[in-house]
Amino acid sequence: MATVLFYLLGLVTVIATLLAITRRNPVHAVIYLVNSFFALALLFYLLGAPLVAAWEVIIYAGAIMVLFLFIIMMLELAPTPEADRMGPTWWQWLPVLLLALALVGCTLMLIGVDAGVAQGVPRWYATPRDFGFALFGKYALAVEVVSFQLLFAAVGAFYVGKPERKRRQKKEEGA
Amino acid sequence: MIDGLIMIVLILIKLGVIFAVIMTMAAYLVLAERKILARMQLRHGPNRVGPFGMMQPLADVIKLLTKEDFLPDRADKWLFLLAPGMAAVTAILTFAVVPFGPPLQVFGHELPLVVIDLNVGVLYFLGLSSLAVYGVALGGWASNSKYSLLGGIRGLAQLISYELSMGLALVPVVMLARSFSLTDIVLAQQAAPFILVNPLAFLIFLVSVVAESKRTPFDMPEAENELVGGFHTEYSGMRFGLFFVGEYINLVILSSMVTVFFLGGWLGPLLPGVIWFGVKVLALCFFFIWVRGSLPRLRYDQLMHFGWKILLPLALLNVLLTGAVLLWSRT
Amino acid sequence: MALTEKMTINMGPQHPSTHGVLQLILELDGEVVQKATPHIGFLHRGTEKLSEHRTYNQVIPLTDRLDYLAPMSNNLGYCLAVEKLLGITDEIPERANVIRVMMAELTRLKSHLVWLATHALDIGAMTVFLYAFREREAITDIYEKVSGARMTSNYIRIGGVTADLPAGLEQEIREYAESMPAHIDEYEGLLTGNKIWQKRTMGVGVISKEDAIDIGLSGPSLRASGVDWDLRRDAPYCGYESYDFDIPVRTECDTFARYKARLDEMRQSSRIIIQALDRLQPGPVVADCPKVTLPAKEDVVNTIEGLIHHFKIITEGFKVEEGEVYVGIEAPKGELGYYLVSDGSPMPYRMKIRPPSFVNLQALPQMVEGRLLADVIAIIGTLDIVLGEIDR
Repeated sequence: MATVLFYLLGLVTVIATLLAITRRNPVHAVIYLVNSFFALALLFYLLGAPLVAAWEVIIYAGAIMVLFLFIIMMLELAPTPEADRMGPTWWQWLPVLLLALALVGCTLMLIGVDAGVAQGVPRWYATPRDFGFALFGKYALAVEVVSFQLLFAAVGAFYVGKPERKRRQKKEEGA
Repeated sequence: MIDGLIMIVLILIKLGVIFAVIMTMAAYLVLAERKILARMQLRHGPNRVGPFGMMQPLADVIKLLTKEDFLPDRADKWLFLLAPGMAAVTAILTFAVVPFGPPLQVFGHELPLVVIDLNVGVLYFLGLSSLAVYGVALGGWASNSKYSLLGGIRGLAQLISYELSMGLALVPVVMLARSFSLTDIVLAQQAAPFILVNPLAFLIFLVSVVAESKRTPFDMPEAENELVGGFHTEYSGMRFGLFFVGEYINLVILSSMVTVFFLGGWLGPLLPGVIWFGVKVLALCFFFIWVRGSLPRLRYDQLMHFGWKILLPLALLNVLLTGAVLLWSRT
Repeated sequence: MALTEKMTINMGPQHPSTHGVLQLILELDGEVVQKATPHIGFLHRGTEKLSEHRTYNQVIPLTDRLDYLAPMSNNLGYCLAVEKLLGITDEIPERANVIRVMMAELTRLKSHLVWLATHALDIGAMTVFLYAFREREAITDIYEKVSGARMTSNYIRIGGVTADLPAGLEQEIREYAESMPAHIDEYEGLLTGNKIWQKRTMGVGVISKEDAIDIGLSGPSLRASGVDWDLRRDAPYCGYESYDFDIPVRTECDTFARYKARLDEMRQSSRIIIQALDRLQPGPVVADCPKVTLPAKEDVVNTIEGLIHHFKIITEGFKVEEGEVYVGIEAPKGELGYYLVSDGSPMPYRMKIRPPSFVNLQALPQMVEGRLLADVIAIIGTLDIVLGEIDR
């Protein structure tokens, strides 16, 4: 049961990701990516990491993709430049329907299956408490190093992304 | 075997009852809101359909179902059709983790009055509430209308600015209860509800919740005076209705969440737990309606400023303080 | 952001908050307004041209439909202009003048109540809308009692007013005027101290004193920009100079200042109404000018002279000597002016109306530039425009 679920979710993740990188419409791509994140989150749950699963949804699907969507909506004004006046065709519907159905099915089955029972991996279940101790106890140093890296990257990106003119002005002012 | 069957039947009955109760509550909240607002505004509100207008929700549903399902020209079809569903479904799903009463004893079985007691219940709620905005954003984007698009963008901007403080307001609750499970959080409030223990977190959460529900004074995504109808300008019939259902279910859910996190959930003297829970939720719903009746609307940059510059630092400070106090009290 | 394109929005003429059929072409960058171009004329009915083919009396109903929220002010301005042209300004009986002042102030209250209601509703305060309409309803009832119509009153006539006040109305108006300050306190309780209301109105739609004068703003919008100018005091008519009232002037120049200025003006209006009621003495309400004003009904029925006068005035009107005249009054929304040219016939040769809303609307593009879309709504509301008199 758990194995079937595992492979099903894996399949959904792969298909959704493939669709996400092949769509020309950025909003559709975002939707497929969210789909993929969702399947991934369920996989994490299946593997016994409910906390990571929740974070996958909150951070990736709920925050980062929302920001993506925000930017896309600010840039792209009209959804479909070409008017296709017919109703939605079956192949337009099929991918998202299949993915959604697969996800709903998996979710329903997961309710009956205990977390952390996927075969092929050691049976282990990470409660939020275990996870917290691991993250901020055992691996505290690594976590801090990574978070500093991210901070540097953010500051760097901000600096690089600044309009050229303003930077030059700053330099001149400094000199 | 029979035991197992009884259990399954009981669970199914429970699910059915919960679903029916939520849907009825959402429908009658619309009526209650119209009635209460009307009384605050020297009007009568709906009073034609049935006694005291009690059949109004039914009439509304029939009307919405028989309206033309209109698709704007050049709209993005499947997203346009999908968005209302997303708005409603994410709202309904959230109720899965809400514990609304102490476990019941039925036929010798213990039946917990919660659909599923996730050990990451708090995160489940936060995750779904952040997904709820997809309905708004996609609906606004797919309509191919400028007002809708602006409504959708506002929805996204709003989500970004209050979601963080909402999550952070819950951190002290989790610290106090030492669990992510909503049932544990309720049980941790035996001594005193968290509203008394940490009133600041309660206030931050309450404000964020009003923003989350997209109601006055934070109803920018659908501000009808500015954006005609905001993200649902182009929707008609039951799709429009679904947005509405989502909004009112969301209201019930969010009231339940405030109840669970800060008002002690089903705990209370004398009356049975389920009734206490219902009373608290309804009181909060009334509060939301009251706010709508008395406050003007903020501008969306003002909400962003409020979210980032006031709520977020306050919430962070609150987390630090609560942590410090907890550490100090333990040593 | 170099990548973002400008978005053009046609706001109106069908939009919940453009106060009628105003169309605004907004160029938006995100939600920031870069440029706003008002398009008007959707409600054009050719009032000025129509009046060239109506006798002087027949024009009065047309003026009702200019600023349909303040019909009696429009009547009054027009009648004062015609009276000045006829040279009968001094013959208006005292009672008629007092009633005119009273009605003009009631009209000011009526107009300001609608302004407050819609302005608050635009900013999201729904309840104030219904509270203000409750008080407006009472004024509409008074209108109905004096003129028979709730909105298009056609009450003030050349030489006086249509009819005397019905019995018992004076007491009703007095009670109403005395209760008004309490109601205004009620609105202020909901709005003035409200932080959200202050945030939405303070510093929004600023127009400096110099700009306000250059554009030609008038009425409360001008006075909220620090210009102490009110025609009731500076060019009095109907005996306004003998009433005791203050003219609220504020210097903040923003939406909140205009809001406060109008509310204070409403308090002053109720003061003036009470003073008018105090000096109301029995007497005629129509000037004794048989060639201009309609004779009393019993004269029409009982005497041949009355019948003839009635017949002549109704069928061909009265001739007005050649000349031209401009009269401006302080209408609720600002200076309402009528410029009349007569060629000696019973119809105006030309009538030009200076509607306050039309002139005030010119400030809009300047006020909304660089502001957010939500502010546009607040600024349209604060200018208190009525498309009926803009498009005429």
